[in-house]
Amino acid sequence: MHKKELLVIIFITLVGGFFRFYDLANNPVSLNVDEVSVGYNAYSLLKTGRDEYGNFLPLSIRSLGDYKPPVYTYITAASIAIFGLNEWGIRFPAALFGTLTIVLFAYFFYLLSHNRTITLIGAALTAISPWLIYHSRFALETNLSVFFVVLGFLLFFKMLENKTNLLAVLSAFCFALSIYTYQTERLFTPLLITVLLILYRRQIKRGLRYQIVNFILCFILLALPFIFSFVLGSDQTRLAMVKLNNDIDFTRNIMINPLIQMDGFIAIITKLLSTQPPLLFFYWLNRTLSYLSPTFWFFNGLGLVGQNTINLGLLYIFELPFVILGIYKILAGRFSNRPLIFLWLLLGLIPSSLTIGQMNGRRILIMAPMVIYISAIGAKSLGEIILQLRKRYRYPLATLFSGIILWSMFSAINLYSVHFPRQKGEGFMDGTKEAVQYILQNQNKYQEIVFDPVRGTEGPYLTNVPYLYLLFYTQYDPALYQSQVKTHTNEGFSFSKYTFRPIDWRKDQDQHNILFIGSIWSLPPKDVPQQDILDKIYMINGQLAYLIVSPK
Amino acid sequence: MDRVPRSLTKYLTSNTAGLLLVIILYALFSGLVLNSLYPFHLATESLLVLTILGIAWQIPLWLSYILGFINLLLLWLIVKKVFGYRVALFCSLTYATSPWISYLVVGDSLTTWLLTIWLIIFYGLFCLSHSFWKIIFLIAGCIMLIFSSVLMWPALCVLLVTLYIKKNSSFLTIQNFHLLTAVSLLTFMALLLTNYSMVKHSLGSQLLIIQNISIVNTVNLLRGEDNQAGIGKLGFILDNKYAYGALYFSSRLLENINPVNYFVSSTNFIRQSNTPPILFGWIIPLILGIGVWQKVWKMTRWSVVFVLCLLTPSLVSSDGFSINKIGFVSPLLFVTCGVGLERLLSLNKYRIWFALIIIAILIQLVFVANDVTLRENVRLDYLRFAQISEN
Repeated sequence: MHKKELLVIIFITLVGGFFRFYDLANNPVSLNVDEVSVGYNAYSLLKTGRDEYGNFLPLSIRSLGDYKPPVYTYITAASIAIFGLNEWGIRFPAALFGTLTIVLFAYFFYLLSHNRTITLIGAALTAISPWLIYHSRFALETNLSVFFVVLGFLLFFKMLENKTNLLAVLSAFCFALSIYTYQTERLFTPLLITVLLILYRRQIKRGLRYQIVNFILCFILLALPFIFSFVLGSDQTRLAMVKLNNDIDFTRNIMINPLIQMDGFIAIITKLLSTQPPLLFFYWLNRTLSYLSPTFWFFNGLGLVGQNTINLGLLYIFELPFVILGIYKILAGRFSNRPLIFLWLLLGLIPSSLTIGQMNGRRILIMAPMVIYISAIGAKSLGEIILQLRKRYRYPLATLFSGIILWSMFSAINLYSVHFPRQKGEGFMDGTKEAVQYILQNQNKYQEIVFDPVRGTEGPYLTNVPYLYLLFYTQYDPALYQSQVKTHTNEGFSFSKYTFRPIDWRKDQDQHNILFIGSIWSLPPKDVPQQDILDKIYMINGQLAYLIVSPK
Repeated sequence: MDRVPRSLTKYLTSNTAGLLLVIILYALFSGLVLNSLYPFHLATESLLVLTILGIAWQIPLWLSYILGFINLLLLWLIVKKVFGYRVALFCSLTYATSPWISYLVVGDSLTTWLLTIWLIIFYGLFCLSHSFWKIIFLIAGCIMLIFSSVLMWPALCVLLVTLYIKKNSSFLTIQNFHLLTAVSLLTFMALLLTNYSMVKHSLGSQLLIIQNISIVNTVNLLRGEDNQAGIGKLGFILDNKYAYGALYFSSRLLENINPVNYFVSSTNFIRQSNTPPILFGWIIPLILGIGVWQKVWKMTRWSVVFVLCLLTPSLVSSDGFSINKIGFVSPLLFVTCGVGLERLLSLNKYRIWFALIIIAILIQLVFVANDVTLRENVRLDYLRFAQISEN
């Protein structure tokens, strides 16, 4: 790469960094439940070396019962040490690694294509990618794991060239780190390593055996704690929670076992086909193919606004011709890395298709480097086609296409900054911070504070963990919290003067000197006297998030 | 003595035996679906001409069932004429093993009837060489299309434009083209004069996606939020009915031309069915078939025209993408699958893949048959219960 091209990549990285860091603390509009959980556990680890449940330097963060991989939480602890326990502090690592990803991806594209134009286009597409920007702007481990996988891959590639043990060990370290960062990589990374060993077996046989043995041993050694935890420990719990045969659609609609009253050979076949494996296999196949929906990729994959509404896909709409042309070029041309490209994409789909829940751009983020690479190849080809056209076609077409690109980008910014906070703010628990701040200012006046988890307008359908918001925004001493007695009841739990349970206004209206924080679900406006309402907290879209009430 | 086996061998390798085999397979599979699901209705849509005349009549199940066989026969004849015996056999095999077709037939959908009309038109275009019979088939097909559904009108326009471009070719002489256009226009006028207000109502409710209420509602919501954020004027440029309509249309177009949609049961017949419209095993022949199409420019050109022709109703419809309403697109996919499988068979070194694909198709066919017999009715009951609860 020339100096000029490096300067362009630095400029692109700065632009990408701007998209990732600008107004980071305020958009997404509030911290979601996963973010506060990561934040408080990181704070707890920083202060005490233990998570909120008192586990010493855990390899799996119990968090909300979902047993998160630990790397992001530990990195966040370092960030909190610098920036403090606030939105910026816990989102900073995601944005930082999101920005570094641009440089990393650029090198990745260069290594695969050895083409400067593809590298620069790829870097630019990475910098403005809605898929990557979205996942770099809140505290989630996804883009961090992609960073480690790509870094591990690049080091592996370099090892093939330089044949050094250090690169083998570093590559294995990065790959191992990725499996401690995000769930998807726990399946993806070992599969990718297998594919790499098969694809590059010829180079490996030519004097790289020693390095590869080191690489494999190092990876297995580093992965051992995870393997141990997977076989015997908490990761087994996580797997049991998310595996595909627990999917609600599968259990409710597919795995129906009516009474079979047949005899003979037909009965055997019928019973064989009615067992879980064949049903699950076809259900899985169906889910995997569903991920190839263009609507998901180009129109609503990020789900920034209402369900099934056209908004922003994982890729911009203008990338559609790029992707089509890119695939065509790869299939039709002589691409040395063609098997790697398609196997990477296929492997990227597998973890997501094997788990429960709806199609999710986060779980397939590992496909991003290859998808953007394909898009960059297509963009280069399209540019060449446009340049070959006659002038009278070339300029109008180029202008039209530039117009579509600009419109798409402004539309994306508008969607993200205006519509996303208003339509999805509730999912990010918009208003909970303000409720906790009210508690902070007024808690001394009351002997008990009751916080109802049901909130806003979609309350019963959303998971809320108000105790974590309280711990986070009050910067509650982790050592004190770990040592305090928590009383669990059927309705909720309490510690110190805080109780987290549903409010039953018919009973609670007679309790004085207690501060109630609830919503219209438990505090119906017609039943609560006006003089008892101390404050109302609204979400950014103008709807009521919380009512703060104390019976007089 | 040796004449009998020789004639038997000849018979078994003849066209008739292949067709017979496919017909038996189709009869068995559709019969099984019918037996498991009856009574089952996919749509309550009636023929346009009957709606206009105020006649309450729907295509009966027995007629729909017969139409299923007629379609199979027409498809066989057309593909055999254009591509030869082997493609015809594979294409018909795709038809016979397709749950899409069986569900449409058993669900008494209007789409089966529309598929028959389209196949009649294609039969006239591709198989008949005599000018008189050709125009008779085309006129009959066009009249039936106009009488059947307003959604077919734009598709008919695309067909006429295509025929005009190819005027004086082997397809149609210019005189016959004028005759066809005149008859189509007269039929259309007759329909308008019979009950103008009903035709207008049908057009307004079924066509013009820009009037789609969900687009209007979404744009209004977005504009409201733009105003709330104080960027009303910029919001007008970014969030308007036309831009959003264009996006919606593009999304619809992509959904329609995405081959995967025809293989996944997310676009199912019954809510959360495990039955795909076309069996998964056909996906590799389909991809190969598309590869063969794009290598032959003449074929590509024609396939694009027919894709456009058959997809137009779904594209301009005010409803969303629905597998149950675009069954008449199925011949294109079946032919492509047939072409792909034939290509695979013709490449000696890939014969093992051919065998594997056939085995995969057969396994899934048995699986689907078993699933439909055992569970589909339970799912249907659940759907009926859900509908009653919603009402």
